[in-house]
Amino acid sequence: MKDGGGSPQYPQGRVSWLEAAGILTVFTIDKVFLVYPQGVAKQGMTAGWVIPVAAGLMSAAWLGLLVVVLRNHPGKNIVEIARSLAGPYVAAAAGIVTYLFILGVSATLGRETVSALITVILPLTPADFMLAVGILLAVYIAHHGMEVVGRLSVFVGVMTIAGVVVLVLLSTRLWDPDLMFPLLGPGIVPLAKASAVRQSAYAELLGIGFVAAYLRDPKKDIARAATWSLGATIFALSITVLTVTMVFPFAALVRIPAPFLRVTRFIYFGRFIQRLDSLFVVVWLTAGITSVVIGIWMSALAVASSFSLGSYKPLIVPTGIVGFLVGHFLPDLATVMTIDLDVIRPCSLFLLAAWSVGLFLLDRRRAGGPRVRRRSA
Amino acid sequence: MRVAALAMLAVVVMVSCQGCWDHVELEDIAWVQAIGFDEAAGGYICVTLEMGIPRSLRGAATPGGAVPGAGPHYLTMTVYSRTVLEALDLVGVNLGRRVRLEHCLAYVFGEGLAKSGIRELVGVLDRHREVRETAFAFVARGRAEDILRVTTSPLEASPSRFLATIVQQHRHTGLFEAMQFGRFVWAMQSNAVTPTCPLIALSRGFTQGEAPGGAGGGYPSTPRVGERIAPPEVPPGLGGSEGGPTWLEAGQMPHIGGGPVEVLGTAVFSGGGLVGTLGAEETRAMLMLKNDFERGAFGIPDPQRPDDPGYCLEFDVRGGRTRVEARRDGDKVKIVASVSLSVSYTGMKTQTDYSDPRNSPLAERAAEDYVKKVLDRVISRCKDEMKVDPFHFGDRVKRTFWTWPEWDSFAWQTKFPQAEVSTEVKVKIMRYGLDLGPPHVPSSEKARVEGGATGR
Repeated sequence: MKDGGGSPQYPQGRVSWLEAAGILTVFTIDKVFLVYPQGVAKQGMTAGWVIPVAAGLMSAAWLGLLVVVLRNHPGKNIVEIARSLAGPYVAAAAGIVTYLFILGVSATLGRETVSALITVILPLTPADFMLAVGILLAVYIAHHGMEVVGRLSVFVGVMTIAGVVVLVLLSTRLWDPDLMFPLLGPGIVPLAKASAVRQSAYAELLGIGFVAAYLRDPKKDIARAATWSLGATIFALSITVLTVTMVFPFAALVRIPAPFLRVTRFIYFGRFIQRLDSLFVVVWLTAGITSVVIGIWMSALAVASSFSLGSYKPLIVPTGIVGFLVGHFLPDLATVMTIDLDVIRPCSLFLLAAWSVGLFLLDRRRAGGPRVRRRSA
Repeated sequence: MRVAALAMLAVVVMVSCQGCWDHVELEDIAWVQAIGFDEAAGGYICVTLEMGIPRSLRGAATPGGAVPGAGPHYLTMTVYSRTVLEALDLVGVNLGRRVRLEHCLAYVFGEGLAKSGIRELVGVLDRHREVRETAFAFVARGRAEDILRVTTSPLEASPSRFLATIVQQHRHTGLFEAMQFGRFVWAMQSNAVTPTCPLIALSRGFTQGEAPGGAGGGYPSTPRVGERIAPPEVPPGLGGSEGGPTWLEAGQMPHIGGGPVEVLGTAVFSGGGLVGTLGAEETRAMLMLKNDFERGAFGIPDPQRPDDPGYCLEFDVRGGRTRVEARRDGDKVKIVASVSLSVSYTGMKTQTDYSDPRNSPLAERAAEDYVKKVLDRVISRCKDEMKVDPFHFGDRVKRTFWTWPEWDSFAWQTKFPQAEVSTEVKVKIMRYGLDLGPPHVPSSEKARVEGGATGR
């Protein structure tokens, strides 16, 4: 209880909507540098870029429900709201599942980042060493609390989006609009299905449920943070997928695990300015580590809220250790990609539905309860 | 607390000061400048590496390619192996250095290997982190190993510099297509386009002199007094004012002196295997149809003297722009390619003033007829002989489909030979150079010039 703001139980500082949006954006868009564009291209083929746009617009629905609930319960995070609406056992169970999801996302992200780094830059460095250094740094930053994480996220978020835009602009010479045809890719129905399933790419925005408790002016800032982070994420994800779709033919694209990184290797301005991957690896790595910072911070908060612990900080180091162990036991990039794209992401759809629709219905029921009783009386 | 922090810091410093454990010193690396692949007996491949010798390169800019006593400035080594990485290891244990491909500028595939198929080989290279996607792919006439033993120009200090400058000639001449390795690999997996890359070969009549490792591999860059050039052997029916050396391929260009290696024409693949070659003039036509033609000098029969090559109009053509329209009715495809070219220099030899607006349409029509003939010829060759579409027409046909599965099952490359392809050419003379009209002929010489005695 260092200060008097934010969540009643975990008041580790207050943040503005910009910092909240920064946290959500960085946590969600880091995947543009990794396997996300390839996974989307596999499903959306030449129309892959439609998926992040459609999925983003669909995500606005569940995110909107969550915003409504959070605004009705200012200063509380989703686990605390669940406790007040559905009781401690349901809240604890939901909190633990959320913890597992965030931890899984962060661990696979960390492992993917490390694998890509080894493949392109440091071929002889052991993965565990890099993972350990990254998580050590992440734990150190996460331990400084919400305000530091928020400020760091604003800086990294701006840098990442600027990096994406710069990279997209630098690659315009490589674009071949013919590669966007046939325009409907696999067809309208498969595209719609893929977009619905790929809402899971925005699952990290569920973090609004934890960040909202720390906002200075919840009534205004929750919706603003959600809108900006969703908009920035849709922009970054769709522009990335569009770029790789116009650079690589579909058959080649599905073979490339990190297509956006590959684009940087193809940029050529002359004998002395080429292979810009070494420049962009800085942006990419910073975003990756910040994303792991947010993941560790949020996972610790989820567990602490689930068991009504007084502070989440003692859980940060154990969460980092668990994250490292998960990353350590993931054997190779192909397995990580499979777990991320085929297990964690599809399963996260249930989590999104449960938190948004479930909490919204419970909240409506609670709000309408007294009226119903009055009528029956 | 302070003691613990200091102890921790000391441990970190001691561990990190030992250095990075994956480091390799620069002087412990052999930098490959070009790599060649040829077929070998028993399913093996023959890998040839061309590597610079840094200590000799310091003096390589001097005439002769090296400072006295410094020796040749590059070396080549050929090994038999099952895989590319195995070859790199084998070279490493001979040269005593780690062999790295980060600076490799050219991937050269021998003709025999290219014909038997290189899809798997380029797939292996494409996934290697050291390989640059921006390097260039070539097909060698004959064996790649021979090319890499001499690939240098007397003007350049190193083979890599030669490779870098020769690919620039793509955009200055259009006589070959510079094909980046990454794009070459992607085209191999495409169902819309077929891969192409430039042909590289030893010069016609090449004989290696002494000092094979030096500039030009000992090839005499300046011919002896009295040596004479042999006339070109152009393909049948391409002599006279409509033929000439620009119809030739690498290794066929008649010349004496200069460098020992030339890049001219195009190797055309069907999927992973080489199925045919295009001459340089045909390559220009292909580039026009692909919308990739930037500039080139054309010799076009003068409408006033169509049968005399000595009176060809000289056109510096640039800024080509092509519009390809594809219509599809079931399996039947109709393609119309409209090529627009602008001419920025016109050399005229007869006394007809083509800069006069009354006469310039004549020259423009002549150019249009010539370019259309070349376009129709190359399309016909690719349809009938090679049965592949190297013109990227498939990209346009693809637009007539709404979904990928429909397009994929259409199998465009099998439909291309039956497609109806027509061409339209529009040439506009924009500029004539620093002078207007042909050189003035004094009245005293007019009778002789009009008689055709001189005037070239």
